Amino acid sequence: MLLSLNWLSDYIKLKKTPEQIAERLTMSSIEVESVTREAEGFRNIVTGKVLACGKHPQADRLKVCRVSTGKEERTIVCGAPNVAAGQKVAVALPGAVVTSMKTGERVEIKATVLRGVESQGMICGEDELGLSGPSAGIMVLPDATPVGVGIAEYIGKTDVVIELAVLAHRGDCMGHLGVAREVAALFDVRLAERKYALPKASGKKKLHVTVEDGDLCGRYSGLIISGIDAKMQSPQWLQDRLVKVGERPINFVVDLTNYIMHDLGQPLHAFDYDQLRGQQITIRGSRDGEKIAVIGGGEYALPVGSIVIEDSERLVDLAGIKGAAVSSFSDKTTTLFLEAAAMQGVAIRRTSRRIGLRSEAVGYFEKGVDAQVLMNVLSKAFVVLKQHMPSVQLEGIVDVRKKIPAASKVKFRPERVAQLGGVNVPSTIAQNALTRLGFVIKKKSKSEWVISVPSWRRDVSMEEDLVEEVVRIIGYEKIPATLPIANIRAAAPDPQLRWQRRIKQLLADQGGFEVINFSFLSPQRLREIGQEAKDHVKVQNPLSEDQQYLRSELVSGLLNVARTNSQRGEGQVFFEFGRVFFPGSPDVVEKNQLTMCVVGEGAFLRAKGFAENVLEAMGVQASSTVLVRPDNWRECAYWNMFAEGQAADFREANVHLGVVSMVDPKVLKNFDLQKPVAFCTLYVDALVERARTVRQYAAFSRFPIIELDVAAFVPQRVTWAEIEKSVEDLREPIMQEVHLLDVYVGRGVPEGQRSIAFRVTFQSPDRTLRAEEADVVLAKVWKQLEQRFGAQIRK
Amino acid sequence: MHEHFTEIENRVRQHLPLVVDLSTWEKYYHETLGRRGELTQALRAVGEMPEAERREAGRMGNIVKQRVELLFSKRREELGGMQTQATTSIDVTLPGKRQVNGRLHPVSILKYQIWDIFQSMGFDVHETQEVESDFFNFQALNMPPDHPARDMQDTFYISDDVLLRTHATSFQGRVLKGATLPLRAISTGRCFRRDSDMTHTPMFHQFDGIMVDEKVTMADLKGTLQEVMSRLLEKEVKVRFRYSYFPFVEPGAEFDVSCSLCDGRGCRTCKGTGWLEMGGAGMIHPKVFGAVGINPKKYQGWAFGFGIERPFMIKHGVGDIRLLYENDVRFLEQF
Repeated sequence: MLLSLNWLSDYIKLKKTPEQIAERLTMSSIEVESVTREAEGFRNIVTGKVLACGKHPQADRLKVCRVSTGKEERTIVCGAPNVAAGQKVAVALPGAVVTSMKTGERVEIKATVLRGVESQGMICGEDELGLSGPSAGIMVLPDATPVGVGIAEYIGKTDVVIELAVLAHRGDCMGHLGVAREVAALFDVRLAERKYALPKASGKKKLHVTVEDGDLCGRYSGLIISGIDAKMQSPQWLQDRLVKVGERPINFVVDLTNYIMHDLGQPLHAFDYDQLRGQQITIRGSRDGEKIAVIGGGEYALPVGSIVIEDSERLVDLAGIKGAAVSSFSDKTTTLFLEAAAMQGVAIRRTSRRIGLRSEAVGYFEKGVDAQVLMNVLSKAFVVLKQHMPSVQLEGIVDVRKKIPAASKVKFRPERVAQLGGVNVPSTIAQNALTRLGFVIKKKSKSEWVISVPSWRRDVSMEEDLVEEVVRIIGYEKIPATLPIANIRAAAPDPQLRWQRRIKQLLADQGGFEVINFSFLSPQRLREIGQEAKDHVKVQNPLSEDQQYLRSELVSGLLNVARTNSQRGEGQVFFEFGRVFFPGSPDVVEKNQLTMCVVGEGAFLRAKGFAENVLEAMGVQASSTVLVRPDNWRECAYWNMFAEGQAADFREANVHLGVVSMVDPKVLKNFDLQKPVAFCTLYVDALVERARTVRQYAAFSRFPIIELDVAAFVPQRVTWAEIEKSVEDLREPIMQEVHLLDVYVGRGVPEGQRSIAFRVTFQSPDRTLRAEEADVVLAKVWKQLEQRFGAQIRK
Repeated sequence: MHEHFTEIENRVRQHLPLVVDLSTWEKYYHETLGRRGELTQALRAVGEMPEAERREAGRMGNIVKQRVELLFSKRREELGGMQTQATTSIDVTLPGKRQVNGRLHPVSILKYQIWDIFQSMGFDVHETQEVESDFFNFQALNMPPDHPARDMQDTFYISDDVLLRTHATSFQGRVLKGATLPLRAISTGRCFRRDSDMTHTPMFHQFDGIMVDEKVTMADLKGTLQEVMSRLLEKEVKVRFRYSYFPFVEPGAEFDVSCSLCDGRGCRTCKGTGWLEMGGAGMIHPKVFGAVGINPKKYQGWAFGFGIERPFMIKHGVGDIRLLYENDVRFLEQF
């Protein structure tokens, strides 16, 4: 909302700078977004006198003037045909900003040389000062004009416009009167609020008004006014005021409704009385299937429960939002019905949002208007109208009082200011603060007051509200900063959060970069990773098509990060820890996942290694097995990301704890990734359930170990897991550990075979082993490998 | 004895190719040729043999030893041609060998600092659901349907009463419901609003905190925030409250901290005001207590909430929030 300080001075006299007012408003009432001085646009433009005016030596159409600006004289080259010696003029000095008549843009004036003559400024036309449209020459001021005065001051452009962001619950601060009331209370000055009276109505014209639902419209008031000159322009002062608050003057009647709204905070609506058929209107909630064509074009199907006004035949107004095209004030109107009503903000807001039609009035109604003052508002409107359009006559007055909220009374204990606000305020000061704001205090006792809330403060309904009123008037800055007194207690443990942090730190310490991607996926992204929309939670009102779905995996985001960073070095590791979402009934299923992506050579085993480190840190023993594509794999879109035969899962018993896989080359291509990429996803929720936080000590043997190595050629199809298991199957008590040393395929290894070397560790818990004991077991290992896999032991 | 030497040699031949790093090599060398190494022991055992066999066994043993030593030194060369420490000096100015250091995301770094600060003051930490019900995101926070304050938080909807939470404040109802009082807790996590420009992304992070007890005041809130913000920005800052409106607090305030860049003197970041807008704060509204079954006559409490990105950007001089979500390593590795 824009506020003019000159306008504000209709209500209060205050000797404070605009900045002081802005500061106090911001701290205690309404946030100030900007303070703009009108004079700012006229800086370095002063009145001057043309002392002499001669021909330019090089150009016929230019003149060289000698101009006095009071303290000094300067030479200015001027192209205006009407410039002459002896004139009083407006002079833009270097540094001034004026409107260029060539481009229409604001340009800064600089000292410059024009055809060989230096010009130290510019003599301005009204157009260049932004005071009018294109004008033929310079602005010539009256002879009596003093020289050397700032032009803004001279032409009265001294107002200051403040842009305010009124809080959502403070409808009373909409309009200049409302702000004046706040400023008066804040600075403790008197508010000059006038009551207006209406002349007696002739009673010649009537309008029968029915309000069906008092909740939708608490009070409906209006004036029937004849003798309207619909095309009359507003008086200049009114036009000026409207322009300052951002309105475009149209004609007097329309301007008047806007003026009153900005002045008193109550939207008005102007009907063409003769278009209200049957001389009757009904205010009611809309019914199913109703439509309305509004002024300015557009027909809207209304949601049920919108507030509409109907005459004997048709809808004539979408109340609080826009008037109907058929019945609104137009330049043919001779008799006006001017409405002021207390409409329900919630209904107006809801309809406005549903049909996507907003007007300034909506902003006023949704914050709340004061039903008590409607007749005073209309009276002022009539008084201003009559003053400038003497032909008007008041023919009729309508005032249906359906449901006007009673002045509320709130219990208030002054001690609560300290108890809640933490600041000690003597009760005399609290009393003064509340009184300044228009609250009426009745003291039941020293410690318990009953406060009557003024009609415009519908937001105040409980004791806490009053505490806030007192504290904001004395100033929030008076609240001291203290630390709370409480029993000490350790923060509650939360395994989920503890592991989140531990795992992320572990991966970062081992070279991983944590990334954070948006939780949204585009339809294109779904296609790129072979997933289907039906498996995803859909956002009903996305910001763009690209953010339509909630992610169900973290892989695609990481592949995108890999693409972003593809020029940034080798072997990168990225990971993200976050929520993924699945459609569920009734609720969306939300899960924690950790996914890492490893780029480059050896990606698979590196990814797996990271996962194993995480599992080890959490104390979870998981086995990894080859992922075999199930029959119903098409139901799980994830499969489209796994590279064939290069995927494994982690599980404990039969619970899946994660997957690790190379990314399918087709998917990689969609992300412009040339290097191999592996990803690993861990299902964090399942892991946290299994994590061991308290570990039990297991005694270890202090006797020497014997290590024996086994090297063998084994058929390609045999997995390491099978080999390991075959060794463990021997269940030799002295065999402690089987540990892979090397896998090799290449020169010297028979076709179809792999060379596998591993080390077996032997140890006894209670004695020193003899070498022969280990050798015996080693021979069994050899035999096992030969028998199970046809391995060829390399002795 | 002869066989024993051959066996050792064969084992070394077979095993050495499996040795893939120097430390394993050292260990294996030691186990074989060290003072107590297998081959050294075997050679020593020769001395205890009968006179007749000793000579031949000794000769055999020495040949094997030479061969084994050759095998080891060859393998050592293969492993990188490293020379022993004793023979050459080290260029100590060479960069150290190290593993790549990864990073936590900047938002995580700040988030965990927040956890640490609050946990040290005995606040529980929560991360509640991101897909939230209208009830916990709005209604329980005194924002009934069609409340104008909902406009301040343009919401992504999944269905009529399921949405992406617009603020971490949604945790309040969840945590307060059935809670043992007194209580102090914070919540951190992702939030979503339909907004996108230099200072807004449709997804962002917030943290939100409450303290509920019988006597906590707005002055305690101010003091706590001053303590927390000073720790977080790693600079002593002042907190000021400005009158404001959030439906879930009464009295309500916006809170600013003194600009940590110019110490309140006024700079570009604080737009010359000396203060940085941080978030909302106030005393928990009795209706919020009512919605979760807490008696507002007995308990009162304070609440606050603000973004994680903003203090991060201020602290580290980041001008554009979108940098945080591009995930470019050149950005990530700076923190």
